[in-house]
Amino acid sequence: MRTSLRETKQIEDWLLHEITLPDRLVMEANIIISPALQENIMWQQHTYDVIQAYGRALLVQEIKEVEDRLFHSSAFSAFQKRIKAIFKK
Amino acid sequence: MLTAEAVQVPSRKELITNWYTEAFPHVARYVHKHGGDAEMAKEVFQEAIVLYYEKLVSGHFSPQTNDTAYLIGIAKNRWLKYCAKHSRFEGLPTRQLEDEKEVYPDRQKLVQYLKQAGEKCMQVLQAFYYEKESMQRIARRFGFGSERSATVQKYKCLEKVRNNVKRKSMQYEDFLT
Repeated sequence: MRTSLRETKQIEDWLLHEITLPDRLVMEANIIISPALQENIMWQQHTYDVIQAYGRALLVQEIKEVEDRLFHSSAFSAFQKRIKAIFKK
Repeated sequence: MLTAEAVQVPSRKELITNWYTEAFPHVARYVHKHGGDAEMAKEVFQEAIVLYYEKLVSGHFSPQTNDTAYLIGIAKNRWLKYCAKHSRFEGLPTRQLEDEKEVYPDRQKLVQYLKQAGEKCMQVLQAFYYEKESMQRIARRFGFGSERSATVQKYKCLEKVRNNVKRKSMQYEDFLT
C-alpha cells in the first residue's frame, strides 16, 4: 500500500477506534505536529458523512420505487383498497 | 434474524415490499386516528424503514421480535414526536415532517457530486460503509481478485472522494447545510 493510502487507513482506524494503544499514541503525537494530517482527518470524517448520506439517499429512492408500485400497480389493488378504506373513515 | 449479509440490494426491494404490506396498514390506521393523512403516513413509514434498516445492518442490533413490530413501533414513535412538537405551536400538523431534511438529503446534488469519484468507487464505499458488507463479499460482488485487493481499492476510493470533498468544500457545505 502506498504511503498516502497507509495514512488514509491510519486515519480510519483512529476515527473508528480500531487502533491499538501504542498506535493511537503515535497517531495523536503526529496529529499535534502535522496540520496537514489534522486537515485530512477533518475531510475524511466529512467523507464518511457524505457516503452515509449517499447510501441513505439510494435507500430512500428504493423505498419510493416500492411505494409507487404498491400504490399504483394493479398487482397490489387489494393493498390499495385496504389503505383507502382506512382514510375514508 | 437479518444480517448485513442477508439484506443486500437484489433482495432489498422485496424486503421493503413485505414491510409495507405487513406494517403499513397498522401505521396508516394509527396516523389517521391521530389526525394525519395518507401522505403523512407514507412519510413517517419511509423514515421508519430508513431508521430500522440502518439499525439492522449496523451489526449492533439483534431483533427480539419480528420486523413488523419494530417498524410499527418506530413509526408510531416518530409520529407522536412530530405531533408533540407541532401541537405546542400549531393546531394541526403540516405536510412537511420535521426531520425530513435530516433523513432525506438533497440527493440530486449529492449524486452529481459523488459521481466525480466514479460509479464503481461509490458503490464500493457505499457497500462497505453504509451496507456494512464484509470485504470478502465486496471482493466477490465487484470482481476483485482477493479481499486484499478489494481493501486497497476501498482506500484508494476513499482517498479520491476525500480529495474531491476537500476540493469542492464550498459546494459540500452547501448541500450539507
